[in-house]
Amino acid sequence: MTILWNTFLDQRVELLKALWEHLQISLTALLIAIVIAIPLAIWATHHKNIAEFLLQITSVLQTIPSLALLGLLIPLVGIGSVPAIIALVIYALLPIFQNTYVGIDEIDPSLEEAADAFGMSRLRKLFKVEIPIALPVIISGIRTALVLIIGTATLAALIGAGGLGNFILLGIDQNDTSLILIGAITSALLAIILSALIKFLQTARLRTVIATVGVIIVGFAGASTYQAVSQPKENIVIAGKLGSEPDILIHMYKDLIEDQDKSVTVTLKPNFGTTSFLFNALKSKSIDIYPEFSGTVLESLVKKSGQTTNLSAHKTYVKARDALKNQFNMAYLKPMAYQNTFAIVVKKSFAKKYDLKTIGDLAAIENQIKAGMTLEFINRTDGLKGINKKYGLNINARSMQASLRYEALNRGNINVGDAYSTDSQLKQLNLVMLKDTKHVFPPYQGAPIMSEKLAASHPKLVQALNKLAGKISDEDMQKMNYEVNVKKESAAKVAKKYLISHGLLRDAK
Amino acid sequence: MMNKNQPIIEFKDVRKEFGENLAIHDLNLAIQPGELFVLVGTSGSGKTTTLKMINQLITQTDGDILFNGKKLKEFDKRSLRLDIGYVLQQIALFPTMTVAQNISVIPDMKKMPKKQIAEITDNLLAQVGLNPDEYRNRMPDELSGGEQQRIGIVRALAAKPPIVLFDEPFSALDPIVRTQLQDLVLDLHQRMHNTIVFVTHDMDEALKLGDRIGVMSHGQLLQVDTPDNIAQHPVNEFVENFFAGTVAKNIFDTQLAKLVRTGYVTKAKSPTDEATILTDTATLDDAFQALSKNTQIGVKHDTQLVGYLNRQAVMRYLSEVKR
Repeated sequence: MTILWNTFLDQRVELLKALWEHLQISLTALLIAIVIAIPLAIWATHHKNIAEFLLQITSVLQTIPSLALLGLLIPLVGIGSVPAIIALVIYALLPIFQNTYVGIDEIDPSLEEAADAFGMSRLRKLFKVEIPIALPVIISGIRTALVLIIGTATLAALIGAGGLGNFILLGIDQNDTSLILIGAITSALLAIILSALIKFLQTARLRTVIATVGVIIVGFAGASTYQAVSQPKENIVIAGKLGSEPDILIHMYKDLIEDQDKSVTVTLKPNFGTTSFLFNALKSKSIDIYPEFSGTVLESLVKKSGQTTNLSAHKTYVKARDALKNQFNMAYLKPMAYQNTFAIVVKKSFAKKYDLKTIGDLAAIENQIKAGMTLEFINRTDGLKGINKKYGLNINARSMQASLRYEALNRGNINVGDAYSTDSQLKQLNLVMLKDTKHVFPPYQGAPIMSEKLAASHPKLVQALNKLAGKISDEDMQKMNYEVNVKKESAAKVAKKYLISHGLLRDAK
Repeated sequence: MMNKNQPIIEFKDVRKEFGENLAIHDLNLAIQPGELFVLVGTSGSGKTTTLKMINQLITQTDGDILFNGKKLKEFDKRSLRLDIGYVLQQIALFPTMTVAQNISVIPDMKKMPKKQIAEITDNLLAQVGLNPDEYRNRMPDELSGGEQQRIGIVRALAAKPPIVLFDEPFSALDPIVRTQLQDLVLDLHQRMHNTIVFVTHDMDEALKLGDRIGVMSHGQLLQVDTPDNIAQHPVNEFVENFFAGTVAKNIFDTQLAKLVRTGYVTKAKSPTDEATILTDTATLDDAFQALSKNTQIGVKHDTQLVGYLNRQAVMRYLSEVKR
């Protein structure tokens, strides 16, 4: 409980920001869904045969798994809040449409007859008789939709729309229950509070309802406009993959850039997703900069030509830089010192028992191997595929999310896993890396990618980022990862501490 | 005809078919201004269909309906309806509106000034025996059935329409409330002199309310006449039976008015005995008591003496009445 409270205090600024994002996404989606579903349902009450059809469609839309829907939307509208809002709108349509339709359709026919007999026009009948009578049912539909939206919006974090889901994702990644709980509890509270607000509106008169909704819309628009207007400085968006290391790096980028060029502000999008996701975001200009490893560029992002494995760290970097420049018009700035590479890891006790030192040693105990690895590693030619081929092994790994894989290793559910050489968990969980004697894993160096255009027009920015070139050793990185993952320090703090202690940033105090 | 003026409503060879079903056969009927006209018949007789054709909730298949001599087809349906009050069997007060808002529905659409609407509302509430201060802001579901239908009537009258349609308005109410509301309709009609077309399946109600009554069966208008003439000269056995059927419910409760209409009352007073005077709303039960003391009683309608009823006439009525 105290841990939870401390985490809460630690994260309260972040939490507020996530809460606001969550609210923005949810309410925008809800408003759009209302604007679509209610008029459609009203129209449908006069076209019964079409109404059935529309109900079927909205029900079918509801059955699409949300994760799949988000995935399907990415190629169409990219990433960020747009696909998230579209997906949420699609889910909210059914309850609102259905309740509006049923609410109006089930009005006592004698009331309809009375309204007609008194000479009411269709619009007058709608606003004076039908909507007021159906309002409680319509509003309960909106409540259902809202609760649904707020819950589902946590998934928006997966496609870079932010919100409370970030806490949950981060919590899973860092194996930090407090973070998960904070994300989940806040999201639940948000649903309860907003639902209660709507319930209050349900008992209120129509005029109060319209006034309240109006105030919310105006307040919302006002706040968003203020945000937009109050950022006259140029804004650079920097994103990072899920995990502590990219999180620390992008905080360093931010500090350095804002220190170098006062006319620029930097917005960070930490824990933004996986490799292809970020690269697509960069291509579509949803983000401006993100840190990437040279080996990953060669292996996953660019079209390969010539030899890509068994290269030195420097050659790998140069090849990656040239390919990015030629194929995508992107600038790959100078790399940092530490070399991160894939590794096959086992527990120290396991290594001792079977006398494992190199990857080749695994051949002797192949029938006892229970492997769990990340999906990316399993599918890469410089990953498991390459290992099996070069070492003549036949390891079948179950695919697992990175931090869950560590958890499984620790508990003994699996005994062989993949890892990054700078991961803090190696130290924390007493894991040993098996030597890659056949050099399947390329040595990876990290560096920021951005468009050439941005690099050319912002020399100060390049200058700032290049300060990290050749800095940060393997030990530094492992230590910083440890501080964030295990000691639960914030990435921002760890990043700043490093920059100041290495003279890259003046101490502000 | 009790009025030689132009009829306010006139049906000319009107037919109505619902799919294969012929609901109304060649209907010809003229309703005079200021008249309280009652359409009576069993369910499925076409009386409600006839009523709803007046405000065009139902459109005739054939023939013409005239409103003050002009064909309904030539009117704008909505503005026509603003001039036709409507009271429903289901009452159908709008549940989200207060009493006052319900009453102001049509005056609002006629763009009457707010102040005038408030005056009319209070005035009419008082006229139907509901204290305006107490009832104005109540919601319909806080009212009894009888109170609700009083509001229903006020709502129909609020814009002072020249004609008001009542579609079996009291059939769902209990007998005491029904009697009160019947009296209320008669009272309001006398004061406002508007035209009322009233549909009911209850011959007693028809006899009590109607200036003239139209008896319908299976889509045909069998007879149109004053209550007395219908009672005394039914055109056929159906009308006779329909009329007679109304008394059979409980013979002791039969009102003396019925005996007056059917001709059991004589103008001549027997000189040999005293006569207690009863009103024509008194029942046979009351008459039996009075006749146990005297051989005859006097019957008055309102304040006017209409004739005398002796023991022989009562015995004859009891022996002749159909059950």
